[in-house]
Amino acid sequence: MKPIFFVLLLLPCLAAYAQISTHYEGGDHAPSVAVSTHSGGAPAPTGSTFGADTYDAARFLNYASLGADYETISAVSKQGQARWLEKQLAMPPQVNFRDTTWMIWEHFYPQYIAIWGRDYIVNHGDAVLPYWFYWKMAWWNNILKSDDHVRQRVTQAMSQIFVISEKSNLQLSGPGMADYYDLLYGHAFGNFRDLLYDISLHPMMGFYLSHINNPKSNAAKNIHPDENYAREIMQLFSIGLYELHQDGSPKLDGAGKPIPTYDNGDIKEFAKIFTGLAPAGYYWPWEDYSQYPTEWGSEYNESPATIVTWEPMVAFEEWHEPGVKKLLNGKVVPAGQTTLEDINAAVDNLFHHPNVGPFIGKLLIQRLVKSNPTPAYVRRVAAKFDDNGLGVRGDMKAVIRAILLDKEALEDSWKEMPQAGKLREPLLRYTQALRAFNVTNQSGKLWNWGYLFDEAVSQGVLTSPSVFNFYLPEYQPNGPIADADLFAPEFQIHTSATSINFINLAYDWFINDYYGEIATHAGKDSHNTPSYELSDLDPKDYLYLDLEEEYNMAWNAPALIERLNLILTGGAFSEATKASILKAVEQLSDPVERVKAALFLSFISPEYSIQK
Amino acid sequence: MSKKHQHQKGMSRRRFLGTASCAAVGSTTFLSSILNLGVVNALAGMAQPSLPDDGDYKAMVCILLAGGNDSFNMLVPRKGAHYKEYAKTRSNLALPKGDLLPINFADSEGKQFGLHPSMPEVQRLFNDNKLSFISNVGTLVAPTTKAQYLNGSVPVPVGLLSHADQIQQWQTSIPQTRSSKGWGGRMADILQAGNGNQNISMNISLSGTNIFQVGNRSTEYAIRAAAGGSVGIKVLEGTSTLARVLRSGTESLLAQQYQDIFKSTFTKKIKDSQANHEEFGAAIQKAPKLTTTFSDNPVSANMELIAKTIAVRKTLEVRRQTFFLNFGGWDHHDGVLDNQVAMLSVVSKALSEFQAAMEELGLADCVTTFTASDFGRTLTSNGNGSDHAWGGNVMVMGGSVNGGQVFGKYPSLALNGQDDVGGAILLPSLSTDEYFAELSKWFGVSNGDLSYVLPNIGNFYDANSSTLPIGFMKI
Repeated sequence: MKPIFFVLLLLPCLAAYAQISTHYEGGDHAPSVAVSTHSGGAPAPTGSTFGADTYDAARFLNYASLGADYETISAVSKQGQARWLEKQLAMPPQVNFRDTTWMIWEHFYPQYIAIWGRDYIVNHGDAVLPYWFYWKMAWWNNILKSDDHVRQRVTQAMSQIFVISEKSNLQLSGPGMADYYDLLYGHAFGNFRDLLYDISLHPMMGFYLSHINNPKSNAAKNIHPDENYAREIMQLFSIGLYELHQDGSPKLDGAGKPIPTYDNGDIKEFAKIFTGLAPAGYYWPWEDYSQYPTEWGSEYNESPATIVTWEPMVAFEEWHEPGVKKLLNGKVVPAGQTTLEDINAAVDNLFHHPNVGPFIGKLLIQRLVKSNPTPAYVRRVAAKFDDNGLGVRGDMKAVIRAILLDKEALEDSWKEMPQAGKLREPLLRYTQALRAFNVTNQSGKLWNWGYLFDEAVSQGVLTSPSVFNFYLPEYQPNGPIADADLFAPEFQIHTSATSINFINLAYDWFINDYYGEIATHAGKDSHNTPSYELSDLDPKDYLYLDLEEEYNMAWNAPALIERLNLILTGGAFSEATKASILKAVEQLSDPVERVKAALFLSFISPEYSIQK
Repeated sequence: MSKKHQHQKGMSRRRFLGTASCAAVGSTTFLSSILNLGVVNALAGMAQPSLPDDGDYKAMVCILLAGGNDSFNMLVPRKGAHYKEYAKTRSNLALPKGDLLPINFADSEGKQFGLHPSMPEVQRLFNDNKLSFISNVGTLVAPTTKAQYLNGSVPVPVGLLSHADQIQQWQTSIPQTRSSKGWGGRMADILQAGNGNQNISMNISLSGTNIFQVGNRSTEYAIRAAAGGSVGIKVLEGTSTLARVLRSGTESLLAQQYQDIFKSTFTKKIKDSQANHEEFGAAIQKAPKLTTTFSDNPVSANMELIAKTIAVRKTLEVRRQTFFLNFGGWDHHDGVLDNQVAMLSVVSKALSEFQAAMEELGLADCVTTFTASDFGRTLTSNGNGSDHAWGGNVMVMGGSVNGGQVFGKYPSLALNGQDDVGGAILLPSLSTDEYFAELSKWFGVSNGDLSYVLPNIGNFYDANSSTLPIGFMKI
């Protein structure tokens, strides 16, 4: 993190989050304030611009990061996208979300004990557990502090394909959520086959799609294997519903109809594969259960709160469906194999299905670059999935390279086409707001819940309402986009409520200096919940942005606006947009307000919101 | 091992909802500026019918139980051989006979029914003739027998048993294809013009975007109980110099004409929403205080907001409205028994509270509430849950409903019986088309327009018939 230069000014008349902001009394805790106040000062590079390489670098970082500051943009500009990307792809994981989750939990639970007494905490009916919110804080903390841009961005994209969600009983285990995210994060630059195998055995996926504790069939009792995971591993995580050409378009039968990749009989066969899995062990924060071996059918197996959610599920062979199982494309699993041998065979069967490259490739392009890739773009990415050039199938680095360095991503000529671009995910707008200006606080605890944000805009990380993510890849909003038969997934959460809520959030950030729901203290009215009330925070926990450069430009509004245009959009602002922002800034006489106004208006502008 | 086992979710949701809400009553400046810019008067040429009189107000409330409600544990045969057949097939998922709440009805075969024990309010509504069930409804392209299904001689819905497809088809009622346009949206295409107010959509969603309410020309207007109703742009309300500057900057950015269709779509949603908010927010402030109390959960809170919205129908100048509420989390592959106890109770209470509110407003005959869900679930157990299936049971409620009946043919629950197409999956005996056609006709869709709203209806029902498709509505 960079040195601290910041301003904290409160504008009481505009206080949003009224309940929260009441105790947020201003900047006396500020270690330093550096604002250029010279009126009319710096020689105006009016309409000043940056080099084309710099704009290209910033635009590239819109695809390749969760938000990049000016220094990163400069570095990419100097090195070139390809070289910078290779360095990124060579970086091992920089953070561990589960470790951070435990660390935050260990910060909080002694506070609960101190306030309520150990006996109350340990024996209370409403259990005190490492719930979901410690993981949320860990996510924000880690993504704001790490510089493995590409891995972080790809992981966030993958978390929208291989979906689990805290909007379920998974919220009982923050470490489990974090460990699942670590799994995606670790595999982001690995091989797709390992990813598919590992998510299948992760206990959080086991709970989410109910193949944990899934017994073999029992004809006498009319019990059949649970079909949930069997269906979704095919429909959503690997091959999709229809046979695809390499370019992502559906193959058609003689009657012109798409050809299903599987039928319900296939699902029943795959359901047999995913039987016999149980938790690896038990966990309870207030007692050591590590010495108890897992028993099939124990009531403790039934909840993410009571099991070890950070180790792969284990097999109970006597509960695994015996016998032959039919896979796709005529493959068969012989009778008598172990559970894990069966799962390996099924994962291999799906991994080698020709659909995976175009299916997963297109989903990743939609998350990273654009909503409507051309068939040729999908084909180029799928080809790299099939063979990374060294005969290896499923190499995610090759896929990421192919997506991010494709001419359709990089070349300017694509920008003005109607099928270019995408609506920026609200979550990515938020991460960019914080990362582009190096959000920090004095305590170093960047423990944001992101809960109010999620409530306002219907998006967070691993918070989707169902396994179908926040939006469907083929969503078409009514109007010209549907008329042109184009897709715009993110518009599914651009509603009359969320579209306006986002503007109000930007107002809270840039005008009210309220950048997130930081929590560091136990709540006073609950024995198991942290508080993000500002009144419970230390001033050293308050978030602030590093806007030193922007404040230095406060009196040179065109340069200020051009800098934001660069950092946020890679140069997408039209003259009309710049003029709208300029007109507003020039009516203000306070340098801080000038910067705030420029930031707010930039963030809500249509030319920022639609990424081209 | 001993441990305390009552995990709550670790936080008070109510507390969050409280903090998240932002009171917002907008000035009308932004609306006027938009109107002046000619942005929302695409509908300007349309007829502006006179204000509705009360007798002609009608609203339809769709409660989508997303995930696939296991509705053969909601409506259960409670006597003799019928219960035995149920208990045998459902095995460890069968509810004990003594727990079922009896309802006063017997079908033509003498089958008598009980309700899930967590639905005493629905039991009362049924026995008071304010609510009926329709049994074994599902997505069908055309009437289909078991033999036709098994030999493949009739087209069947695409993506049978898959959530994404089935939840979509319950909203489109066009199961032979994937479409993002719903029958509620197509009703609005026809009926929106009859509302005095052309700015606010006839279709109001409590759950954001959805398929049901999007037509070829119509889209939903989203409000949220958690936000206190509609949401407006805060910066338009301030009075300081900075606020005024930001307001004009915001208006200036939104007023730009964007060639790019992504940008124009993005901008139009914001502008329309703000204009809607300014009207809606002002109207909802005038809602009378209801004496009916609603439970403290998001479903009841949203039903209360629907009731308030209906209460200000005259201020809003509307004569037709649909409301859409998505109550998700019914995909009970796991723990179906425990989960249904809690969730059916939420539904039961919310229905009863809403009906009481409509009676309080004197509008019980004008408002019909109905449920939908992705599909029914397999009758057999997968251990402690059930899997995706096809036909299911639904509820309709209101003063215009022929209450106290089970419509349709409650299927045989015998494994491999006449209605089981294999795997304990029930072939629907009524199509969503027949279900929705009856609601549409009550709502005022003309015979001639029925096939626009429900393109497959001709496969099941003659739009000009003098009888109703099912008969559950008083028309």
